[in-house]
Amino acid sequence: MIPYADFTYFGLLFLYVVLPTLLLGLFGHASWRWALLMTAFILIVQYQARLKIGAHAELAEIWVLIGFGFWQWIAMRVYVFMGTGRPLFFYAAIVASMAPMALAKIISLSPAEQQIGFLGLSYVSFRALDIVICLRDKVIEPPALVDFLGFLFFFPTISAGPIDRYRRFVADRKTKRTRDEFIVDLDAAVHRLFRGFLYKFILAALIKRYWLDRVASENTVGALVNYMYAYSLYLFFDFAGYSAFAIAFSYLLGIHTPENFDRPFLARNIRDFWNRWHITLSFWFRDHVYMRFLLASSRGGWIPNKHLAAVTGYFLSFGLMGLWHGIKPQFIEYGLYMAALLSGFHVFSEWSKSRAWPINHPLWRTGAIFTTFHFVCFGLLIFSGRLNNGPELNYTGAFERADCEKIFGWVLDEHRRDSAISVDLYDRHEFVMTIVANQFREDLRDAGFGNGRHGFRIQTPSQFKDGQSHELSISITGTKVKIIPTQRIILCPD
Amino acid sequence: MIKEEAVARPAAPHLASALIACLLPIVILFGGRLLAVHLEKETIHETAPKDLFLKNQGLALQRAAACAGDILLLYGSSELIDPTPNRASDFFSGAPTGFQVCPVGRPGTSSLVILQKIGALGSDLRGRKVAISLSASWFFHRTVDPYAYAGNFSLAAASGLLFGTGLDLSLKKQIATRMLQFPDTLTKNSLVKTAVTCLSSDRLSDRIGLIAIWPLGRMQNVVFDLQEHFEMLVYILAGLDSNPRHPWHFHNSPKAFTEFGRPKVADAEAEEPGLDTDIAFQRRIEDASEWTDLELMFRTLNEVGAEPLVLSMPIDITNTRARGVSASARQTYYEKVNELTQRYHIALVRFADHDADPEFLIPKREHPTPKGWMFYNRALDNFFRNTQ
Repeated sequence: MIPYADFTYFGLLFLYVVLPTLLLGLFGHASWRWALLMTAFILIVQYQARLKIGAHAELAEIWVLIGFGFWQWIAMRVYVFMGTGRPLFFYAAIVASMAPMALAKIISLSPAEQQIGFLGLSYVSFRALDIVICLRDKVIEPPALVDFLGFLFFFPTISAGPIDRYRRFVADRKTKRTRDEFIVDLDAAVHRLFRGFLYKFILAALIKRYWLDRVASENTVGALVNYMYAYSLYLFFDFAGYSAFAIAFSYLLGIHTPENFDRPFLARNIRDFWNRWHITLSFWFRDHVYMRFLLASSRGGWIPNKHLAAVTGYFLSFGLMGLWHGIKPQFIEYGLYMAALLSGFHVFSEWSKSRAWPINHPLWRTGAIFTTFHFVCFGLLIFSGRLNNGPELNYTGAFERADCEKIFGWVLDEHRRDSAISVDLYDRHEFVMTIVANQFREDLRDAGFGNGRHGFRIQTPSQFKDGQSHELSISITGTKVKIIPTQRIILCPD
Repeated sequence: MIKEEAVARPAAPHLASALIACLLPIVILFGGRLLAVHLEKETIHETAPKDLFLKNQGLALQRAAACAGDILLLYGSSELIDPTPNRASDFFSGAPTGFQVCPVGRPGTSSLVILQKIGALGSDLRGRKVAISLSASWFFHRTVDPYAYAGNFSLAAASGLLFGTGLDLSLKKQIATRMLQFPDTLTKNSLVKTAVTCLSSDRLSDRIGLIAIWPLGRMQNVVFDLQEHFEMLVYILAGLDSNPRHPWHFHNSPKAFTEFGRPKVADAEAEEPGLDTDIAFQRRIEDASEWTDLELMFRTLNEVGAEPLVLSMPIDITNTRARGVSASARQTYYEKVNELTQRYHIALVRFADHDADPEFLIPKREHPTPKGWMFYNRALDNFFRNTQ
């Protein structure tokens, strides 16, 4: 179940979270215990998907989540036990906290399509790291198990942030809300809920349907530029809408989760942008990576030139941020691009300190916003993967049947509806043959699928008639796009 | 001098606005629904005989037809949309004997699809006459073709049945078990999928899960109902002259699989080698999962309190699956239909005498000829007017 994505999820929240919380809150009883209970309930419902953890082994996501929680708990307790002041143990605790996320990202690349991660793993890992770092800084006491798990897995923000801080979170958790305070929180929640619906289900949905999808598959420079704007706006409204929902439900449960966006496309420079875009993530990197690096560099005399140290800090922080998004090239390129922009702006701002620019003139401001917007949009274009992967493919088709006699179906390139294309037949991951989908089918033509010459039909190859089961799949030749259903199993006598 | 006045800001300024923002659409939606229902009733005699996508995949028009006293719902499959002269929907369109026929069905429809529609209509069919046209070829295959099923699957009907109150739990459990055999149709809607999974299970946790999602399912039915009435409203206000398709009902894009003229799946199903034609035919008939679905459909009809008539088409002996099969072997099918209808006290009209009658069925299409339709029409007329 994807949070904040469909009727079922919102219906579930409305019936089993919102309504009881409203009743409890109005009587002054919407407490932290209630929030914990709701978190446990939603997590059990949300993480029911089965993960393929081995060749023939599956596990419900919830068990991976629980295992992850206890791993982090043990890592934290060991760190506290060994002494939070010793650097070696600090770095060991960091590695232990990061290990599940790193492992999950590496395993997800394996050809066997195994998974050990769960939705929100990256965000939860950063919350765990925040606790370790705060312990090191001695700004928090070692958390109790319930507080620790409650913070890590607080359901409104588990899947995609915002990334709260333990110090702030635990202060909210310890506050007992009166009825009036609950109503103020409820008001804030309602405000964000409506904003979330506007952003995610109206603006982002309209942009996707009428703008982004229409230019996603075109392969021209104009379409690429168009895609850049469409994707940037779509990403903002979708993510900001999601964040608004997460914050709304946090407020309802008494946790004042920080804002994640603050009109980012009105930023006047790239540094300003990163104070407005995915704020909790950028601040997390600023506080826990960039500032620490500068401090350590300054103390250790690693880089004598402070400007060079700042630039190195940018590349370190944003390189890691790129990796945090994933280990695909576009994410790393995105991080490095942003680091380059920040470095460039750092140099520029140092250089322009002694010059009297009319920075408050409306024209200057407009120009700065316009320029920043375009640099940012280009960065988000990199992030989208469009530059690396080319236009998005759009195929329609069906793998209709596979039995001991025949294998057949149809496939159509939505952008070239009268052209035939080829498909590849696979037995699990093993390539078997290429088939041209060019057979005429009256039903396809009558149903409006181009000229109807999109069928494929072959005699079942004799190699499958061996008394063994075969998992067949059909992919578009030259792509990894599989036709639905993605798998058909046949078992033919020898 | 400007005098500053302290303006008391309400503690919760967004709550009242939110309340209005919620209430206003609710009033508009339910007002629109009332108008749509009114217009559906007003125009039902124009829409009932038509082959409409909205009618096949939705419930609103079927419900309106069921509530009208002079319209007979006829469920079936491809024969209903084959534009043959004397087709029941055309023949009775002017109500020559006081009633119209409202056909509901498309190519690839089978008992499991029909029973979902009937179950979703529930009490609206209580005491109403309903006719079912059975095609013998449904029983020529061991399993229901999943693509034909997917192409006819209606989310509104499935949700209406699963989260409706028309059927008891044990019947729903058996229907859900059958629906679970077609997992591709369940992926688009997590509530329907969860309901089917929970219903077909005996575990306590699944029972609790079902109870937990029940109110959500009811809410979903309301949403589907509103959506469908608004589509009907648009259709009626546009002058009833288009045949709108609404993609929200679709699972994947299966229209290609159910369009008239689609190759019969029989061509692609493997024959068992080494079996005598009659024995192979009888074995296929005996093993067909369609019998389970037919029985479930009869139980559904009885539970909702409908008054059904089953019209069993003769076997098309030009069909590749029945070619060369002896008359005695073909009796297997008729006997089973007979036995099942008797068990559930359902009226049956069968046309077994027309097995080899080229004037009754169009060869290889298994659709009645104009003469065949006249046999059908007479049976329908007798049934509706209780003259026989």
